[in-house]
Amino acid sequence: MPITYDYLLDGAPFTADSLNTRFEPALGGGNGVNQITDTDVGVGAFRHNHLPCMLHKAGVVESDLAGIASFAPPQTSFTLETDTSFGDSKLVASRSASSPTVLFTMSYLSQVQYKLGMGEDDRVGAVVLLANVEVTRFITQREVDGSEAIAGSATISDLDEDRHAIVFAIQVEQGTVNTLLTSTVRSLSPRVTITDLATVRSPESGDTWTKQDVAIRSVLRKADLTSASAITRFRLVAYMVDLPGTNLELYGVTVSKCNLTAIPLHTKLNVV
Amino acid sequence: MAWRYPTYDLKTDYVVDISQINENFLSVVEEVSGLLNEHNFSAKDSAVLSRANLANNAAFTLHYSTPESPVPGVRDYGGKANWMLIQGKTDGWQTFSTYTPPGGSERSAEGLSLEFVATGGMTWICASFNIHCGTGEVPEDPDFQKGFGYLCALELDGVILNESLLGSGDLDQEEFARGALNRAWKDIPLGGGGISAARLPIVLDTVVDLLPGRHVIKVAITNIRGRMWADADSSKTWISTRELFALELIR
Repeated sequence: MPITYDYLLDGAPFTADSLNTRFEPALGGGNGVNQITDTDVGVGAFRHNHLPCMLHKAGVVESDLAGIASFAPPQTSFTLETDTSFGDSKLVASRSASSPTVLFTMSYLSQVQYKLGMGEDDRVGAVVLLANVEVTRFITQREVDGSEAIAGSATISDLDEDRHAIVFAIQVEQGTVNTLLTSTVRSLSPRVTITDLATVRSPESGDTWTKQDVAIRSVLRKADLTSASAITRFRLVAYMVDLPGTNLELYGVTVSKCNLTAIPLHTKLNVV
Repeated sequence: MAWRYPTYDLKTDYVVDISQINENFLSVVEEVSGLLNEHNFSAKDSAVLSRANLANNAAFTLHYSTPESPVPGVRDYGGKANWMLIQGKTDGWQTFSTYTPPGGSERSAEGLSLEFVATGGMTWICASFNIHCGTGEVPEDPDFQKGFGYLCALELDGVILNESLLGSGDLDQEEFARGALNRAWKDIPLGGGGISAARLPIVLDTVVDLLPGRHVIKVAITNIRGRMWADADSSKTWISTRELFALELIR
């Protein structure tokens, strides 16, 4: 409730009692700052300083999140990234769509796990998911074997823009239930576009590096989940694809910088 | 709470008036009663006010669109279920308002068009989708996927938001081929100009100040000179997985 100040009137005695009760409206039982409702709080009352506590569940304080600092790779309760430079890269070498390679995992401490839906105690209407992966290079099996189509060049590649692809997606884990979020699936071809006219699809000595950022922006709703349990982890996964007809198998794809961010929002959700 | 100095510094032998006492207390009490902000509450302890105390739209309203049934798949070159066709040889921007699946009835272009009533204010608009060019099966005419590429942008109420534009139509910025420069090659695209690939994940986003009321947001694409698929009658470029959302940042 709003706090009002009771003015001392003319003629009031200068005694301890009259002065000590000046804060009574703000501190007294049933009144004051401890009884403020959300309707008493004005627009702009809570600024960026308060976003962390608004995004977490009621009762969670800063010290509850201290354990996150021990996670590897380093992460906050919202985001994690590979601590690497653009020059460093890691091989993603999974050929099976049923067992994608996990680039990294964002794990929630038990204190901050939440259930989706504004009807739940945690009041999270949706989670905005953001992921980026710097894909550096596609590598074919023949390049690894040393049996490239055109011998004698260290830069030869059998990359097939039509039929080679790397696919990225975000997985959500609820206890023992893993769900691949189909709306987050994105695919990328080798995209080695600068080459000469005669060897457009299979660059001979042109560009053999992909160096392409794959960005995913997505919204996770309660309707996207297969379980009613609390969300415990997010994963960024990748798998390689040889589309039908190819005889030039991919060996692997290297990636450099990656990041994954999951922002739980206290929000009204309007699905159009 | 912020530091507050007494308005009047009352000392021994000063003549004290009731109004001075009141004003000294007022500066403190008023802050508690009328100026609630980050100085009054600890950001490290959410005990005072939690999310449960706030209305659903107290901070954000999220408007969202994505194809629900069937959900398109990036590998579905055979069925192309719920894929959206990008027209070939169409000059300028093209948008996607409706979609008629083979053998089905017309439906709205989920994930590429979003109509909603805004409260008004700062709004983050974001589209994330995957472009495909070619059949994905056999090597095609090498021209098509090395075309001049696409420009992609967000359109708000019929107006392209330039700050969201991705790609460039400036051909002079690209080296199309090694060897001697042949100006005729500028009509034989080998990549460059717009964004170009057989499979291309795209993100467009921007922050705008929306007026209250109804708005329509669309994804707009220019297929530069129609060269990402040269046949005007059988364009082979599509959009598969896609999401479009607008997050109103109310406070």
